[in-house]
Amino acid sequence: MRRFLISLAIVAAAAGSAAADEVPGFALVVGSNAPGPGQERLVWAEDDAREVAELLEELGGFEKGRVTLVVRPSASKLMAEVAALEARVRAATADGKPARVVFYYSGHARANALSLGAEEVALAMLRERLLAVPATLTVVVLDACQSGAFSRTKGVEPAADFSFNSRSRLDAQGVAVLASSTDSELSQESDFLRSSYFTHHLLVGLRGAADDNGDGRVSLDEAYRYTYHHTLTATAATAVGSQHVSVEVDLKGQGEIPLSYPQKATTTITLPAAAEGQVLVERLPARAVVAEVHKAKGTTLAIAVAPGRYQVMVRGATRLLRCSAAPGRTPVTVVLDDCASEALVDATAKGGGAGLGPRWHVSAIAGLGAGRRDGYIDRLEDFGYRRLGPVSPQLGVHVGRRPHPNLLVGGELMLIGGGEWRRDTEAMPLRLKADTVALGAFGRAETPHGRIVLYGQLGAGLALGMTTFIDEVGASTKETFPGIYGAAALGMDFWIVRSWGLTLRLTGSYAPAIDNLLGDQHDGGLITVGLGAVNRR
Amino acid sequence: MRTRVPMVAIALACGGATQCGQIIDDRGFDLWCGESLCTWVLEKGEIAPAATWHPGDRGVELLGDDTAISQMTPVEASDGTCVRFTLVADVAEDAEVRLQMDVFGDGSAETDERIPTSDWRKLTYLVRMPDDYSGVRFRIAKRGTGRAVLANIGAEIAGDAECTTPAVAVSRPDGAFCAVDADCASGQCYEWPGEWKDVCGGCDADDDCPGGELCTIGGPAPGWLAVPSVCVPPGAHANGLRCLRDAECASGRCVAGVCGECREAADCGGAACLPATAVAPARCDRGRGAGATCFTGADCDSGVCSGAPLTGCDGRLDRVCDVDADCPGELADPDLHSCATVGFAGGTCQ
Repeated sequence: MRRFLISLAIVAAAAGSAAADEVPGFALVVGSNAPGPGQERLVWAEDDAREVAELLEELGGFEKGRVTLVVRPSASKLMAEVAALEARVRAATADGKPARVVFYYSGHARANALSLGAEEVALAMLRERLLAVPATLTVVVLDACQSGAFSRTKGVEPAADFSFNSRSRLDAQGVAVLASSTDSELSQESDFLRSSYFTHHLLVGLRGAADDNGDGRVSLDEAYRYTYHHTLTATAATAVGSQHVSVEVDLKGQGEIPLSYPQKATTTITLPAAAEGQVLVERLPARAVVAEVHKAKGTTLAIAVAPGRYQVMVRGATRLLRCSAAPGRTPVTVVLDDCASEALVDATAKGGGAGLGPRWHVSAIAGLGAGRRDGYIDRLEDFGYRRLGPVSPQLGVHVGRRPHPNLLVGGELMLIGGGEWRRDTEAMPLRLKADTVALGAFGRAETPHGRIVLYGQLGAGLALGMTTFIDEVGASTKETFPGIYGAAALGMDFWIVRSWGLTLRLTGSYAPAIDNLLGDQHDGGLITVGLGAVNRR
Repeated sequence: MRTRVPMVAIALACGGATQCGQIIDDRGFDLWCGESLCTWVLEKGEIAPAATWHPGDRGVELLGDDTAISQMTPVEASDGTCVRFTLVADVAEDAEVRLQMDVFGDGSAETDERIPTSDWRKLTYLVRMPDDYSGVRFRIAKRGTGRAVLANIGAEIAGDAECTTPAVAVSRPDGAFCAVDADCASGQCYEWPGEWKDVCGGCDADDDCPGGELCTIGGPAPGWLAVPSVCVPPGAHANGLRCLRDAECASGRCVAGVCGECREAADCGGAACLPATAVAPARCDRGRGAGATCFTGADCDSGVCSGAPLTGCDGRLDRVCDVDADCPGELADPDLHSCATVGFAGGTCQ
């Protein structure tokens, strides 16, 4: 999967950073989780867009009403919003006043276009339209795979080492493009961060973490260096691989370009000495990340924040602690024993193909089916028995873990109803009931198609056949028969929401376990059609 | 008047003398009365329950080297003429097991098939019955010491098209319906009054009887057969027995088809003549005190009438019997029919 994450910071012209504060700003923030053909649905792109829009209003100096948030637009809708942005800027600059524009996109993209579900918007056309907006300074931030290609299409001079030469070359007018990855890399989402790596660190930086000189403002330079370093470090350990934030500038002028003005912290959240691991602090309810630090055991750590409600997550080696904190005028100390503890979930890789996605997969399924004739059945009929009912029920539970995006392995437990046979007598009828329980392992190969996942599955293990015989006076005799089983299935999962869905499955099972005194063996397996629920996490 | 109640009229809800097509009772050998089967007659030898495909589903093992079991069934021509016989058998090589069918149950088997050596194989036999038959005894006999276990024996009426062999040849016993003399073992097929078909029997008219004997209605006969005619000396029938003419009765009076004491009061010397009914012959009312003549205890003040018991099917005089099996319908529904004491011939109040 690819996303274009566009973070934005627009600074006024030669008047310098102070003047930039007074330069009216207009922003168009776009986020779309919708997958295109062959792409997997994104999870956090639209949320990231909302947080960026909130940050622009909260810390970016943008007035309310001048930040337009568009979620999951069509191609025509997106271009219409760009046109509307141009119109507003043109009206604001009609008397020659400067204006700053931000365009932010978070979603899927291919090498030369943004992917908006089934539609696309060519990068070249988008760039042309954005540059046609009569803004003094335009910042484009793209969070998507191969987003570095946005600038490359126009041949803008790349910033080979922006962190060292940005100040010497930075002007206050023009275009700055911050891309989440190079034109050949994938951009990634993280279920742990509940965001993309790039957007997360950019927002953390803009909220103050990137303020190296402590002047209360985060410049484009500071934000880029912070985001570059933290994104590279975080993605180096993922299965998809390293992600290098790229920047392209075409700026004129002098001075720093402030991107945000973080609020001055007036209280603190303190982590106790026993806390150890990577700490993430989010302000609620927006879940805006305000701090991300590494905490060592043995010393306390105070994090300066504004009064409000926060969630503090402490990620250790194997567990994640989620803690609540609501510092007001007085600081608060996190009590680890009051925190919710959960096992770590691997980061979801985001790129051109499917990532591992949720690792665990659980399904429960019920079905009806019919068995096959065998010598045991023939013998029963020879002895005058007839079957009650043409079909038998089957219940199954599967728990699997994903070692590969398209593979699932795990264990299964099935209860295969064997039916009931009956022979009338002069007294009470003779009855035989037979069922089989199977326990074993399975492997599944999957092919996702948006919400639908098609799969083929094989399973094998141990079976236990169980019979109950009731004689003509009502006395019952129970017997058990150990054996083996095998099963093959074709099915389809339909994911209604991210974690829950329905599954439809055609299963054939083979479980020759039940014997009689005459040497006949019964295959308790069935051919069933089943429907059930699935959950992944 | 003697009548023979068609078996079909007293058949079960499924119609005919079969239980919804099944001819044999307890086909699975599930009902045991002690060491014997409840619905199969152990003619000789010993039998025991034996496990089959499951310990709880038992068949019957024919023990020893000369064992036979049989079951008389009321199946008749109106049920069908093609019989499918099936059984599951485990028969050892050194056991000779034979399946026999005795049409009319007269003791002579019309079919005799050897059941081959079998390892719990299901065997099927189709037999074309005569167009007009009533009653079949199924008999299974074993010779030899080898193991023989039978399970799930069934006999049912099949479609006529399934039986492709000629009908079994039957020499009909007395009481069996017939068309011509050659049908009968006696060589005599008579048009018998009261029956809707001709019947194999001992006589057709007095001329068929020797030495002045009279041709009349005979005595007890199996319930699946009509009561054949017999030759009897004049006056041989006591009061209460069926008759056709006065000369057959010891009293000289055949009243309403039953030998009785009187026909009118004048026959009773002034006493009243009680009329004949289905359960009592015509008789004089000579009081109810001790010593008075009676037919049943109801005729006596003491309620006790002693004499030679006279038994009839379902407690009626229209068909004499010795055992329950002499009564029509008893095989199909033993709860409804039985041979019971009707009264006492020459009875005296006690």
